[in-house]
Amino acid sequence: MGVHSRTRARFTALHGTRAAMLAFGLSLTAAPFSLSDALAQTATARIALSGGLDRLDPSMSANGTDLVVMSQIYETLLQIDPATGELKPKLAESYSAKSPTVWEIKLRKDVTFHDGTPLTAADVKYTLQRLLDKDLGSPHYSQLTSIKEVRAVDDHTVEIETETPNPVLMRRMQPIGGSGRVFIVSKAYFESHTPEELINQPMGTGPYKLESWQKGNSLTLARNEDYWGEKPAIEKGIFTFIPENSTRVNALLQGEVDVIQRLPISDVERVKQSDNAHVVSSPNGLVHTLLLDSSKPPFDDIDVRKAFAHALDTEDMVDGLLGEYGRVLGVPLGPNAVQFDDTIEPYAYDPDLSEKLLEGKTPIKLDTFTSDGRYVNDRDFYQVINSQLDQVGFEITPQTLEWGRFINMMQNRSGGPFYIIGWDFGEGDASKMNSFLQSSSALSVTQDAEYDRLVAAAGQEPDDAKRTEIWKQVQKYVHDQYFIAAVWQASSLYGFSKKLDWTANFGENLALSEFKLSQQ
Amino acid sequence: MQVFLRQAILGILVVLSALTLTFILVRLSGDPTSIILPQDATEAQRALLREQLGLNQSLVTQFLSYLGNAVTGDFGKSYFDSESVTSIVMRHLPNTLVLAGASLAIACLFALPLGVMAAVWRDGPVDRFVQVAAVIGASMPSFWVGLLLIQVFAVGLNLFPTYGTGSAAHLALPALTLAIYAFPSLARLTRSSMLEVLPQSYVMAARAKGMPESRVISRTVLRNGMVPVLTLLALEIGNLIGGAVLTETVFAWEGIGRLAITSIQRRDFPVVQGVVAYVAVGFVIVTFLAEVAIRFVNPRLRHK
Repeated sequence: MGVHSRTRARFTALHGTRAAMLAFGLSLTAAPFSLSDALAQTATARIALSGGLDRLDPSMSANGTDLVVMSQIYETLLQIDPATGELKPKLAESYSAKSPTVWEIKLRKDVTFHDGTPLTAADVKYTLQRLLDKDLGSPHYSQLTSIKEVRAVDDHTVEIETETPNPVLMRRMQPIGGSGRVFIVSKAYFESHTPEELINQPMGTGPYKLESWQKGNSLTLARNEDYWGEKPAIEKGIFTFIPENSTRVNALLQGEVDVIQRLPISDVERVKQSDNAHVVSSPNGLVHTLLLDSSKPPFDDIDVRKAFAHALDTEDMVDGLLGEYGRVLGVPLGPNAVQFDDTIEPYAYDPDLSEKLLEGKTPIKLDTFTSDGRYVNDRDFYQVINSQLDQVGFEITPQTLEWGRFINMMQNRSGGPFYIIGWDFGEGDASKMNSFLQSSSALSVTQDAEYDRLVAAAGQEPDDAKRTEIWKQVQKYVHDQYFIAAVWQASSLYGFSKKLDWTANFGENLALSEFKLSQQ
Repeated sequence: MQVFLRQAILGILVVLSALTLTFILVRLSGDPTSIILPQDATEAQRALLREQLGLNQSLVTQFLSYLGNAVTGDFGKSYFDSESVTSIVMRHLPNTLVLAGASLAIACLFALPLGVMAAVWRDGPVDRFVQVAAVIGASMPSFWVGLLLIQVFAVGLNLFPTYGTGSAAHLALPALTLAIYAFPSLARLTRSSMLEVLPQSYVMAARAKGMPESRVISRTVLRNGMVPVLTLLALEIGNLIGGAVLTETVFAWEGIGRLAITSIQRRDFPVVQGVVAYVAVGFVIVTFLAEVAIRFVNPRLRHK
C-alpha cells in the first residue's frame, strides 16, 4: 500500500499543474492527462529513451533502444552474474560442454510464453535456425555462423553443435552486448504471424508484456503476472522518445518522466542538485578506442604510432572531459571482460620521447575526419588530441563528418589515419577486440598476421584458463605494437526520479524489471 | 484560366525536380546498410541487405521504379520498421500542419497589424519597435528560442509541459517558437509593401474624395498592399516546414520535420523521399491557392 500512496502523491502534484492549465482553457485533447489518472493507481515508470523504436522482433534488430524494450519481453537461455562476470542459467536450468563442439542445454520446465504455451526445446531450435537463415538478414547472423546443427533431444534438452570448438558461443546466449544476441521466441507464434506482425506485436517469456504501442509516440509494457521468475516491482513501463538531450533532462526535472537514458555529462550537476532526481551510472559504458590505421603510412611505422601515443596526455584529457564518469584503460577491452589484464598500464605522457621518435620525419601532415555528437564529448576529445599532436610535429587538418557518412567511410577503410570508435563490451569477453583488430573484420584498420594467429588459437581453445592466458598474450602484443593510441571508457549515465532506483551493472542495458521503488 | 494552367504545369515540374533531386541527394549521402546493421557487420551481411533493399540495382532501374510507384502514391516502406511511407507521413503530417497553422496564426496576429501601424506611423515608436523586434527575431535561431522558452515557461514557471505532442498545452511553446521565427519577414514585408502603396495616386484620390483615413487604410491601402504579403505567406509555409525541423526536434514534437531529420540521419531513403514529395506537393498547392487568393483580393489581376 505504501507503494501506491507514494505514486499517488506524485500524480496528485502533477494534477495540480494540469488542472491549472485546464482552467486556462489550454487543453483541448487531454489524452496524456487522462492517461495519468489511470496510472495513479499503479507503480509506473515513465522512461524517456534517446531514440525511437523500430522493430521489436529480436531476430531482426540489434538497435540499442529496441533492445531496451525487447529484453523485457524476450529472454535468453543464460545471463551474466554481475558479481563475477561469469555466465549463469536463465531460461536454461543448466548447460555444459558435452564435447569441444557440442553444448548441451537443459531448459527449465516452468517457463511459459505470454500466450500461455510452455517453452520447449523446439522453440529454442526454431529460434536458432531462424537466426541462421542467411536470407532473413538478421543483424545477429554473423556472430552465430559457427553453429552447424541444433538438435531438440527431448522436450527440455537442446544440443548445439559447432563446426569447430567455439567457447564464446555461450556468451551469445545472454542478453547484453548489442549484436549477436539469441532471444528465445515461440515457434508456434512466429510461424503463424507475418514479419510485420512480429515486428509490431512481440510475444515472449519475459517479465513484461506489450500492452500498447502508439508508433512514434509511446509504448507501454505491463507486468506479466504469470511470470515464471521473480516478479518485478514496477507494474507498468511507459516508454517515450526524446532525442534532444536538454529536453530529456528538463522532462526528468519537471517530473514528466521518471527515467531518462543518456544523461549528458554537462547536466549531471543539475540533476544531482535537483529535489526530485538523481544520477544512476555504470562504469561499464562504451570503451572508446583511438584507432591508428597501421595498414598505411605514416602509421605502418611503429615509431610513428609510438610517438603518437606518447604525445597524448590521455589521463588529463579524460579527467577534464569526463571527470569521475570516465576511466583510462591500458588495453582496448572492458574491465568487465573475464580476460582483462589490469597489469598493463596506459601509455605514459612523454612528448619528449615522441619528438625524439619523430626526428627527421616531421612535419607529418594528416588529413583527418572527426565526429561530433556520436560519443560523449567526442568533438572536444578530437580537439585536445589534435592540439597535443600538433606540439610534437604532427600537422592535423581535421574535418567534421556526420556519423552516417563517417562510419560508411570507416567500413570502406577510408576513414582517415586515426579516429575514435566506441565498443560495447557488455558481453564480457575479450573476443570483441576482433571487431577492430582482426584483419578480416569490417572495421579493422590493422592487418597483422601475428594478431590474427594468436586470436585464431584463442577462438578455438575450449579450456577457459588457457584461453584467458592466450588473450592476455594478445593484450600485451596489442599494447606493445601501439595499434591503438588511447583507450578510455565512459560511464553509462541515467537520470532517475528519486521515487525509483536501479543498480546499473552492465552499461547500456536499461532493465525495467530491475527497477526498485525507493524507500523514502 | 491560362494562368492557372501554366501554374499547374509549373507545379508538376517543381514536384518532379524535387523528387529527382532528393533521389540523387540521398544516394550521394552514403550507404544505408552502414547505419541499419551493427557497426561491425560483415561486408557479406551488408551486401545481402543491399540486395534486399534493392540498392544493388542500377540507379536508372531504381529511379524508374521509384518514379513509377510514386505516381501512384506508393513511396515504398521504411527500411527500419517496414511501415509504408505513406502511413508514416500521414501520421506525422497533421501534427506539423497544426504546429505550422498555429504559429502562422500567431505570427500574423502580431506581424500584420504591427506592420501596418509601422508603415502608417513611419519612424514612430511602433515602427522602431517593429524594426528592432524583427532584427532580434531574425537573429535568434529557433532551436535556441525553443530551449529558452522551455527554460522560462516550462521549467521556471511550470506552465507548460517541456516536450511531447498531444494537447494544446503541448502546442503552445513550439508554436510560439515558430511564430517568433516567422514574425520578422512578415512584419517587415507588410510594412514595406504598405509604404509602397501609401504614396500611390489612387490613395491620394481616395483621400481627396473625402474617405475617412481608417477606411482609406483598410480598403484601399490594405487590399493593394496585401498582394506581396499573401505571396510571402505561401512561401512562409515552406519556410515554416524548414523551421519545424529544429523546433520539432527540441520539443520532441512528432511532426514531419523531426521525421525528416531522423530519416536523413539514418539514411531511410524511402521516408526521406516520401517526406520531400508530400511537402513539395503541399507547397505547390499552397502557392497555387495563394495565386487564386491574390486574384480574389485584387480584382485587377483577374483579367491579366
